[in-house]
Amino acid sequence: MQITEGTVYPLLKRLKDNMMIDSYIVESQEGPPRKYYAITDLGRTVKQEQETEWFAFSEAINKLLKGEEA
Amino acid sequence: MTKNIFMEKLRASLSEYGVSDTREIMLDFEQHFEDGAAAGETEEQVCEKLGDPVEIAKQYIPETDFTATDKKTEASGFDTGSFTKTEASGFDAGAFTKAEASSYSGSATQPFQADIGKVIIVLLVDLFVFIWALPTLISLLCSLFGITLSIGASGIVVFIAGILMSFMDTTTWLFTTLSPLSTSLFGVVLMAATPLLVIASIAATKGTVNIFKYIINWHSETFVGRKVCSFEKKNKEAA
Repeated sequence: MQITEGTVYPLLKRLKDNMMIDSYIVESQEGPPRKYYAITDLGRTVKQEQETEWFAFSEAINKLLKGEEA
Repeated sequence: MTKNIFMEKLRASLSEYGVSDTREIMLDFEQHFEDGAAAGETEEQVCEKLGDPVEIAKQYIPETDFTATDKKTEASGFDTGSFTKTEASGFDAGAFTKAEASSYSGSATQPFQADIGKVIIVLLVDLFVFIWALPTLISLLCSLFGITLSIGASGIVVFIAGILMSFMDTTTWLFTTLSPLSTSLFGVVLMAATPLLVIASIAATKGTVNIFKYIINWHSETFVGRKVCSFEKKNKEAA
C-alpha cells in the first residue's frame, strides 16, 4: 500500500497521546507559528524496548525464512 | 483537489468518526498547506502528496481495534510507517499485523455473534407466544382473579344473609330451601375458600412471570449472549 504524507500527522498525534513525544509551538519571524516535536524520556525508553524486541523478532524470522537451525 | 475541499472532507470525516481535538488536527493540516505554498507547491500538489482525507481521518480513530474490518490496511500503514527501514528487507508488515490480530482476538473477549438458525426459531416461537400463549395466559389469570373476588364477595353476602335469615320468618323466603344455619355455613365455606384461591392466583401469577423470564432470558442469550433476568431463590436454607 502507498504511504502518503498525510499519514504522518495521525502518527504524531498517537505518539503524543501516548506521551512518547511532546510538541511545542514557536512563533516565527516570517510566516505563521511553527509546531515542533521532541521525543520524551518515556518515548526514548519505549523506543529502546521496541528496538530490542524488533531485532529479536526479525532475527528469528530471518532464521526461519533462511531455514537455519534456531 | 483544492485546499478548501480537502479541509472540508477531512473535517466532515473526523466528525463522522467521532474524533476529538479536531481543531488541532485541522491546524496541523493548515500548517502543512502553508508550508507547501512556501515551498512553491500548488494546492493540488500538496493534496496529492497528503492522500485521501477520508483515509487520514480514519487513522485518527483512537486505538486500533484489530477485530474491526477495514483496519488491516490502517494497522499495516502504522507498522510500515514506524518501521520504514524494515520495508526494504522485504518483510510483509501486513502479515505481521494479521498474526498479531489473531492472537489479540484469541485472548480478548470476542464480540457475541448471534446464530441465525436460533434467531429464526426464537422468532417463530415468539409468533406462537404473542398470538396464542400470551393472550391465553393473561385471560386465564384475569378470570382466576375474577373468580376469587366474586367467591370472596358472595361468601360474605351469603354469610350475612344466613344471619339475617335467622331473624326473619323463613316462610317469606321464596328462593331458598336452606335453613339459616346452613346458609351461614355455606357463606363460611365460600369465605374459607377465598384465601386458598388468593394463594392459587398469586402462585399462578408468579408462575406466569417466571415463564416470561425464561422466555426473555432465552431471547437475550440468543441475541446478545447473556441472561438478563434473575429468579428468586427457592430454598431459604442458604440464608
